[in-house]
Amino acid sequence: MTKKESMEYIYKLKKGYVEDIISEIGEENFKSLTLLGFIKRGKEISNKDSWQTTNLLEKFISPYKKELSLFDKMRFFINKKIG
Amino acid sequence: MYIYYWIPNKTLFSCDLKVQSKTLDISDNVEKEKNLLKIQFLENKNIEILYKNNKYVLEYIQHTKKGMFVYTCDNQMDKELLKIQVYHLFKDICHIHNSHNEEEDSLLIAYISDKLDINKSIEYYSQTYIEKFKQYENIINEFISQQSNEFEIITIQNQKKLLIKAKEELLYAYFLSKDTKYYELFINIENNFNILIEKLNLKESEKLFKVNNIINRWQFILAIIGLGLGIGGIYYALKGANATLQSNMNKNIKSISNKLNKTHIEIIDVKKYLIEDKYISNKNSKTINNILHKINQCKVLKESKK
Repeated sequence: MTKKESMEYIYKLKKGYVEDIISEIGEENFKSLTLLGFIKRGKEISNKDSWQTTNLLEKFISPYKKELSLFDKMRFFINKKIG
Repeated sequence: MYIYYWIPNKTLFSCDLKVQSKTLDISDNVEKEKNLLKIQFLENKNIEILYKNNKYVLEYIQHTKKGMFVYTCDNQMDKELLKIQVYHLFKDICHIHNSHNEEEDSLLIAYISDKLDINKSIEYYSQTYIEKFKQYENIINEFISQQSNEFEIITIQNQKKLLIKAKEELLYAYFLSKDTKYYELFINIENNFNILIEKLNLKESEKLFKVNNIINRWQFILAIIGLGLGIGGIYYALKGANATLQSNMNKNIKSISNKLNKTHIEIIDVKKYLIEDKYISNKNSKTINNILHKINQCKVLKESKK
């Protein structure tokens, strides 16, 4: 999984246990996303390590992951065809 | 064991840690219950940690002007908790967020060692920063190589924002690594960031140029369509006006012919009549002469029939 894909994946999940996400996106990606501040690490009451996405990731990903309106879809389609 | 907490700074640190405490829910809401962690700065500069009804104490050893705080504690404490959650709570109290949100703070992991060695801790944090900056470069390069969607400008702007954040963190790294071998490395990293920003600027201007071209093309097409519609409109309007004029003229000629048949008036009187006629809008001599000409033709026809 690339870093971009990992970011999109964690953006969808929002939160979870650390061991689960490492098995999904790999330790390397998890480490780099944590270092960059896209993931914040916590601890649950059961003492399991957990994670959740930060505002930084929301700001970074959401502009191009948001749902498009019908008008925007048409606009982008025409731009693509004519461009 | 020794715990090294570094407070990211750009200037020499002159902190007098006041007696204060802070409690934070360190859970990520994966489980329903809250998980509270409390730290308290004591008068003797020690830190008291309250976690799950247990009390731990971090004994203060020293702190440097660069903002490196050293504590010691027994090995019973959860190292992960000390490295991540306690460190971030500690940093929350001491670090002032001047140019970024608290949520966008650099999420470093604290250094723990069995030996007391400040230089080693500076080395550790410097290396962590190098690793962090490499990740910034990797992720931006990955985005640059994969950009192909409609939101390119937005993603380029986001990447620029990320690089600005990275450059801000670089100032902390410069301050920490001053007089060490890592300082030169951070200069190289800054140069790489500048190259990346230039690449993004270039990509952004290319994309803007492309978008402008598309807009210009649309404008040109719409202008041509508008011009065509305008010319067509004028043509049909003139055609319609001409047809109406013709039909009015024909009607009038017919009515005049009928009147002539009934009254037998002379052509000179007809001319006078035509000028006064309210149905004939175009009273110039050419129109009237045309009418008179047609009447003459009618007369000739009539006489020939006789």
